Amino acid sequence: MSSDHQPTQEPSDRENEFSFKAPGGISVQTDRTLLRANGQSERFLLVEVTAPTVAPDPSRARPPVNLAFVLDRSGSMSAAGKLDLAKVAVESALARLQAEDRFAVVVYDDRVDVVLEGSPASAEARRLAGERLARIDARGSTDLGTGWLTGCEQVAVGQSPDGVNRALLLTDGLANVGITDHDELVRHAAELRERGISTTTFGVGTDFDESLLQAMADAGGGHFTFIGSAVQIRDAIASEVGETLDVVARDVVVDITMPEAVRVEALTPFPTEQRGSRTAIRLGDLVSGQTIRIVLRLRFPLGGIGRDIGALVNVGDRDEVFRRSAPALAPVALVWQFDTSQANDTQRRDRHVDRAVAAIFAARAQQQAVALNRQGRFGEAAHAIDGVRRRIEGYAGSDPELQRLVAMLGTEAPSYAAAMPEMQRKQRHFMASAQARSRPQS
Amino acid sequence: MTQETHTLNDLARLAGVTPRTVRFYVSQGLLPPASRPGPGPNYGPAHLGRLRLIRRLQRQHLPLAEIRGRLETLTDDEIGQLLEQPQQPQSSALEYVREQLGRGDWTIGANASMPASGPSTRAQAKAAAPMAIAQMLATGPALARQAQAISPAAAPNPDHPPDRSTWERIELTRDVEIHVRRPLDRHTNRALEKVVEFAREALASE
Repeated sequence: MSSDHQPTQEPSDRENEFSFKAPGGISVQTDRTLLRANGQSERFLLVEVTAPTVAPDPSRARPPVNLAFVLDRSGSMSAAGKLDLAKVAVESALARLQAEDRFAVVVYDDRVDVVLEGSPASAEARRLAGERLARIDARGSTDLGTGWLTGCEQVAVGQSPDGVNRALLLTDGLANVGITDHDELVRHAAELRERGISTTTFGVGTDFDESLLQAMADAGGGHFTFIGSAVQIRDAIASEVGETLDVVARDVVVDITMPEAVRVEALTPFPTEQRGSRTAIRLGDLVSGQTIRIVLRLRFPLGGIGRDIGALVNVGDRDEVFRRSAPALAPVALVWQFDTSQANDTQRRDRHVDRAVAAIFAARAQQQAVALNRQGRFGEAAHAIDGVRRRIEGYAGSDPELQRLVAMLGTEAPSYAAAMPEMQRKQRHFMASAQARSRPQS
Repeated sequence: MTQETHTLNDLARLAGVTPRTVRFYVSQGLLPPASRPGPGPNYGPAHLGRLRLIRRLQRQHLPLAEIRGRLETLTDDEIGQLLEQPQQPQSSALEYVREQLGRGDWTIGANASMPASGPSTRAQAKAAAPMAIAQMLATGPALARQAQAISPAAAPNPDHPPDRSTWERIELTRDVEIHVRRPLDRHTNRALEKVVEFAREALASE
């Protein structure tokens, strides 16, 4: 760590683990800065959070990871070699762990087996996990809840206060034994996250419940990944494990303060908590240099011409990595001003914000249209896409990126007007959900 | 920050209660009355802060009389500070997940060693319990609370894990209480909160 980045507060165990190449930061923008004096105004706030970039340094001790791999071994997992591919994926992911890391392997159908209890990732433990996995075959029904919780238990036993503690759940089916209530599973994911254990979910094929896996990952502070074809299992797991190894800031929270008269609504799907004038948005763990975009809709009251309303935006994380990487990082303020209707009608728009807002509304409409299509409400599904396309067209002007989005939605709309194959629904839903979470998929 | 004022409906919405509950708290002396009578924005930040603190204390199942007693001694600033403090989870991850799995704290251990053969099942893990306890006692601060919970007098018998449920007493008034066996599932818990709130209102308004 260079001397000008010395922390001013008490040192922590992680203090010397990072040397920052570029500091973390936040940027805050709005689509329009003038508000109507005589009518309510709707404005959008774009907050971009970038995690610090860590200089590559092979001697640097990264924070340890503590993972549980939880694999569905129900009967359906034998199809298309899903279970075999998942086993291979886990083995190759284990090869990336070091002896300071920990891992556990759990398999479940209607019964739960701990293949390997939470252990330091020694060569011996990795070999043993491989051997035991080789003997696992697919059978039975799906007690997703107990399987996943058992994985969390294995992580909890060796919980590392400085590391990334996470259960990785891979399934191709529904929770049909044990805890099957979605709300309950999601609540457990949130409670465990509060207690330092995050949950990542992988849905394979077309028979799993994406709303459940997505909600568990959102509440659990991890990620949801859709795996359309079994051969992608290995890449998906490798990428998630790689990400846990690259985490630089844990439990990143953006804090926005505005007068209570302004109604603040987060459009991006990160867990959001509102208390009075403060809105806290939890972004989870960020890897080196990662940027997350948050879009909020603000509804302003009327106000006298010339009067200001401001927002104060701050970012923090559990280990104060943001503060240590940029000690001068102060809360960022943004101010709106009440003005005449004429001034409002002729004000400039910030196109960067417009694009982010359009993208999030498009992603939301796509997810809604997928859900409607699944319910057989084809007309409404196409209508949802058409509606958002028209709204974006209304402010797109000559902006090429917005025009492209409008054209894309126009092309896509008819495909929702008839029953879609489930694979396509899952694909579209996942693309849109990843987009909304600043994790665009190629 | 300017001193925001709210109508009764806005105040209730911001605090996540019904307007009827606000009026009830005012009648019980938990909240100061509106600054003026009438339908206008007659409630200020002090009302909102107190209302939020009442909700929080209620979630801890404190009787209204007790809540009133606590609020009486607090200034508006002190209430603001109390609300700023994050609500800490009441248990560790391990305690939480084991409660959900219906296991005693000792049934599967902090067993970092590897059993000699085959995938271990729950039954096998139970057999390793004494060692697990020893390891837990030797583990870091995250497990300290649990270690304390396992006192020699209450040394568990691994073959008969005791019932983890506990009875909780919720006082509704000085003369009426209900008993609840915890843990409860989510739906029952929600319903219980409603019952407690309703019962307290009903009993207090008699």
